[in-house]
Amino acid sequence: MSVDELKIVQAVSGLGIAGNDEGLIPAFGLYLTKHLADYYNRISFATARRLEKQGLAEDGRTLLIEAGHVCAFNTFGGIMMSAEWDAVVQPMIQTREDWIRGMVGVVNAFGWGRWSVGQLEPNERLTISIDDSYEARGWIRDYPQSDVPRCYLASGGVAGLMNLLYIGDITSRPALTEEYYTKLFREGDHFVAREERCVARGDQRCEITARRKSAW
Amino acid sequence: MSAQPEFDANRNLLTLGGSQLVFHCHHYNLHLQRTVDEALGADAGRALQRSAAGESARRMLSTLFAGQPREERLASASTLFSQLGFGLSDITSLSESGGRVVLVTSHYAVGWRSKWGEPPRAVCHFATGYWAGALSAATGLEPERIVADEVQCAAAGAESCIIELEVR
Repeated sequence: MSVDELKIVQAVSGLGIAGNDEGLIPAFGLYLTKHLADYYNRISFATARRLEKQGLAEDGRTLLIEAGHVCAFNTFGGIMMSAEWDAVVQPMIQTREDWIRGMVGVVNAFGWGRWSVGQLEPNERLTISIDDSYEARGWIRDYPQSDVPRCYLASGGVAGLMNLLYIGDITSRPALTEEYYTKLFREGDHFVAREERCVARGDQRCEITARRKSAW
Repeated sequence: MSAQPEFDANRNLLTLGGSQLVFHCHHYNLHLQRTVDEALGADAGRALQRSAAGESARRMLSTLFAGQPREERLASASTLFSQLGFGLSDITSLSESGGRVVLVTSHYAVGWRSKWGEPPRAVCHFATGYWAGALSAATGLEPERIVADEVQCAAAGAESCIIELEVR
């Protein structure tokens, strides 16, 4: 395997990403923040719980995972077409699947916990295991054990990786437009992720699998 | 005050003042904000996000402020706000008894406009809560005693965002 994840994590975490003179962090064609995990967890879980009480649990889950799709599309997509990617990750890439291994290396510098690529069947299936998922950590700190998985952002992210690579083709540097997003996440037999194990539900670690919609 | 996040390379966790930090971009931040607003209704969504921001900022800043002279704390909160990418805040009209924070730039305002254009109402819910939490942490006052509101927002066409803070 050619992708050196540790080297990627060290390179990205060593970039010293911080606010400029305007207090903003423009990078990868985005505005980044180093945000409070507690904030995301509080607003996401409160929204999910409110909808669950109204009998709309699945709607809440879908909405929050959709936010993860948006994150993956723009953040992962932006990074995979950035100069930093070209400098650090691209030289390690030998196969199409290395794009996923490379992006997981970058994710591991985001402070989201440790992502590990498990089963990866090209164009079919991806399983990501996560230790110290910030979402699951936040849940177990503030709430009783959950009946359902709680890593919404991560679930959207895992599906996004597969959709960027196999439904679209991020390697061809497409424009990240609304139309392209719709093609990747709303049309045809795109990838959908399910969190099959979650620390919030009492499992040892979180595990998310993305498969074609028709395969579930 | 040290405002440098620490990265735990074994667990891939980033922490500052005992609070976990995570990188996210404006697309996710704004989409999640709109998701919450639409799911709960605009008023309840705004209240939740301000409350969550106040709670999380207060938790982090209370730790960071420990041992720091009181008169330096609000300036530290402003510096940190910028370092984390939330925007540039002018706090010359803010004191321990309240006042106003002018956001010369705001991540949420800039992000909203770049994604969706002009919104119907102010959008800097996180910043509003952050500054309420910062004032609470700087003074030691209970968060319930601080009322914060964004009275104008650059996303909605104003020159800058203005957050007014009142100590009850």
